[in-house]
Amino acid sequence: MNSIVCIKLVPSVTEVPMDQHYSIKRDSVLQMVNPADEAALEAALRMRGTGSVTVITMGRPSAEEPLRSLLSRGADKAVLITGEELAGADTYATAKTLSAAICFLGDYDLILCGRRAIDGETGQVPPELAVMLGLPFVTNCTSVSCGDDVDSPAKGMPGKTSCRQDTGRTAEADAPHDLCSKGMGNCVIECQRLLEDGTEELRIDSPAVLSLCEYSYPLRPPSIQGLKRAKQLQVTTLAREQLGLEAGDCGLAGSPTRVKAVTRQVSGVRNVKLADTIKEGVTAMEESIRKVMK
Amino acid sequence: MMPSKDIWVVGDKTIAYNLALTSKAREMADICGGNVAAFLLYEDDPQDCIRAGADEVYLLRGLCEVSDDLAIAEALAGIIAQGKPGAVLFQATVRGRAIAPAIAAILGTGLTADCIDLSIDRDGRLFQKRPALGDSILAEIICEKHRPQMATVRPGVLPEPVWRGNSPQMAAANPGALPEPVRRENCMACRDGNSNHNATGNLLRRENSAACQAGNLPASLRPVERKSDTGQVTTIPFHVIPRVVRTGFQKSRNDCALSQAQIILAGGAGIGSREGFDYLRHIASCIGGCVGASRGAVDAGYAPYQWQVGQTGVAVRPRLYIAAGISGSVQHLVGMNTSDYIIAINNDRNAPIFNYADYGIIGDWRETMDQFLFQWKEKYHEL
Amino acid sequence: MLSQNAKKHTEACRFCWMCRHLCPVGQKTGREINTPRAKALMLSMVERGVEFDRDMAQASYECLLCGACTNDCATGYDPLLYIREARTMAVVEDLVPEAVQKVIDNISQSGNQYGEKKRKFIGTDTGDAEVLLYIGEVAACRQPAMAEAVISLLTKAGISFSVLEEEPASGTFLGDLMGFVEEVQEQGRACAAAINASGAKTIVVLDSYEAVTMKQRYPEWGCPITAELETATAYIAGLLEQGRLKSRRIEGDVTYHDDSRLARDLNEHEPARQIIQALGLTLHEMFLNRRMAKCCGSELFKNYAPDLAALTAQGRWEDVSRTKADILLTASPQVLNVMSEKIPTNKEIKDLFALLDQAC
Repeated sequence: MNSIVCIKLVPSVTEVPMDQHYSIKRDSVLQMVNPADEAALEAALRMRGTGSVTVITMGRPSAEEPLRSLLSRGADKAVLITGEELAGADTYATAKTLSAAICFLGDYDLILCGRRAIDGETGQVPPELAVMLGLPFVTNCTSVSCGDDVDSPAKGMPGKTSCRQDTGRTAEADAPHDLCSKGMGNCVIECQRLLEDGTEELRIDSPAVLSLCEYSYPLRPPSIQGLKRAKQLQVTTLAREQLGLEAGDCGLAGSPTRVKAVTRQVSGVRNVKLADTIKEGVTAMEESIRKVMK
Repeated sequence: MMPSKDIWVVGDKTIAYNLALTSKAREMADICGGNVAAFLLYEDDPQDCIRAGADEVYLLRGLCEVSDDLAIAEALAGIIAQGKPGAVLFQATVRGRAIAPAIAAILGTGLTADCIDLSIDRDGRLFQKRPALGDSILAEIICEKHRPQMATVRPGVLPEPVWRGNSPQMAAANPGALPEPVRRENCMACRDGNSNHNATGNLLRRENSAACQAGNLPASLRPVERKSDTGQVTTIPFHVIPRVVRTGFQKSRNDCALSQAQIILAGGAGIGSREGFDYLRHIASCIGGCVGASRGAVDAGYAPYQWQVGQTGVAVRPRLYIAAGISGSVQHLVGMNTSDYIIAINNDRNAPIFNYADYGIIGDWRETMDQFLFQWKEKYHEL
Repeated sequence: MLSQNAKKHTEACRFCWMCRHLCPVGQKTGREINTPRAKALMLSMVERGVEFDRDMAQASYECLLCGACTNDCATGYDPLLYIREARTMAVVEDLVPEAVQKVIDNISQSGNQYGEKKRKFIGTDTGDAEVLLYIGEVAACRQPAMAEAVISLLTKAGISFSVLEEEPASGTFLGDLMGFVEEVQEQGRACAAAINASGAKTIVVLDSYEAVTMKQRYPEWGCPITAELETATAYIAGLLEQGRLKSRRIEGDVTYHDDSRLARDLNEHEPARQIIQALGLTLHEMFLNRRMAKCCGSELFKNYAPDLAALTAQGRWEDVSRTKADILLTASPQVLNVMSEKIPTNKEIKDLFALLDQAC
């Protein structure tokens, strides 16, 4: 299984400085890999089998170091799309840039993403990316599995191992819209999607885009072997021009939405009334419950 | 051509919130002078939508059982491309947040996620307020040049719907007294939904707003027929060949959906064990509430992830939120601080949760709950 | 090559230098490089381009990972984080000191740090017992009498318990040697799988170092122990409290050494003191006790740096000498083994479990 995992680096603190366009000044704060994206990478590593896992991110040159740490955890290739014009992108422009890069890289069965980033919290890139790549998608997955789940079998993970190689279908039948999904074998992916009221079990044919919930697959730590290997590997850098994108497609210029204003808020502070004794508190609690139940 | 000022609402499973969203759309449409159309994927009562402010209601048949978000997005995108509304609003549910961005990408327009407030000016420009960075900031977002303007709205943040004419209860008592909706101009979405049967279905990778001009529906998604009932309620049946197939469903362990609970009894890492959460569940069932959990408790394995309230879990707004053994990290607070009334139980007076609570009990959670349960059973004999 | 988080910790110091007064190694050697702060400076230099060399690797192993510095750091930062990562770096760059490499090789060849065949122990039950006792490699190889005392106590209390026929390595010691890398977590997962497969409802862990790993690291590593996990001290103290064990009172002036992980990672101080009280002994606390306890050394440390371990043991004996106690009690196989060195005249070290076993 060849997977491309989209990674976002997010500030590891909540108080973040912003520039005049209300974009986060990402150089001045510590960056970490978005937790849900870590889960996506781990899922990809577990499904890798004899295939490969590529991590891709859009960001500043300083993103190279966190990407390198992902190589030490077992990713085979790391790609950084970087350039001044890419800054300030909203979800649409981000998805556009990522889709162009993914087309450029080609040769994938699955695109895996985190279900949302902890800074922007939109979760919109995976579906937008899917549409631009002409692929079906499932968001909010808590488990993903496919047949050749041999990378690290005994991990006590929730994934199942059931795969139907659906040879009866042609690639065109499933992905008629896009050139960049050519030639990829169809594998049946089984996944679970977390909804408000329960968990759905879904089946989707590769190639597809899936977004994973944070904590669904805790990312493995670097291994000694992986660290030694990561020392030898290079992070591939891609620029907008290589991807055939116009400056107007990317970054702030390519973003339909604009942030007009930002207010910092300390919301929800209340004046607490404290109970003198637990007994008094319990009685007050009972009254509140009664009021709601009425 | 003047840009449209019509506002469309796409209904989700959570009917009460659909009505609140429709009512909000009405309020805004009255400011900019547009019409409101509601598109329902589920079997809601269309008359309620009309009472909540919709000028027209479209029942989209055959989509509610479809698990393929892209297929639903393609269906809706086709309708939107033809109707060209000024704004389209969705519920920010899991499905809503998957379908809406797919539509935005198909139509090549902007989308704002998880808004907590919306306003509009007379030109129909939608101002979308959304929190970010763990709710530490509130951003106001506009979509300047692209139409439609799209937003998903966090369930439960909008006020109760304002009913036009009679409230549903009154109407039920007196069914003849339905108000005649004001009909300003034609906002028919699917005016020629029957045409374009030979569309190629190539909705993908088109350039900005190409779909808007093309106005095509993909072949697999075309409306089979269109049936007009009472003037405002229109049924559009769809036939979808999904690429995502549902093979099973497990209802979550919690007896009720957290996001819709009236009473939530939530526990944190301070609960200390799975057994502690079983106890909370027992109490919750006595008082007709749901159990929630902080990330600390979920990380420690005391409670399943589905129970997690907060930034990386569910955002809730119950009438009563009881936080037991929760210290109150920012990431938890943002998921529950809009609750109507918050009671905090913690043995640390300095726990941040007390700053965000209406009522506080300083003490051991178990001791408090033991006393509570004792008192409750004694008074109400409910087990 | 440090993680961003570890890097943050290396650069967080406010130069109060209080950690140098707490570090059990630095106190005895008097060398600047043996303080947590110096290690932070060293790694900070590496992050700025200075080459990580053999001396730096050596320095990163001259630490007990006892957490006294972390516990008392005014800025709330955690030197253990970057020291563990420095050890990872040492392994990756092939700069591990020879003595350490030998221990790593022992673990990879035989599954324990001694490279020896472990002694086997038998529970009252072979399978399906409610309780599983995890003895650990230190007790099995170096202090079998302590393991036997615990087994005898459980038997006297009428507990049906089993011992794994082949105890897999817990990952604790390899983790201390090379950081919590995937290879270490793999060990942890195998161990968790074996323990979980036993089906026991309670797991009693003799070595507190391993209890910390199982309780706090395993969930992070995605392999939580599904049963309740208790330290041997807490479990035995519980048996006394429930009246399942009854102890004679014996006289004596004793002091008790809180081993660093039990004291600081598990925050468990009272069970051992309850046992001492049940024995009717008079407890004279050392100046640094409970969370503040000064580490006396660890088995792993003794294994690759015996000279330094003798110094740290001596440091703790000095603390013992300042009390009125004649006997130092411990419930840790590691402490028992490490503190058997440099015993001052007129002082004794005794195994708390063995003492209780004699009195029951």
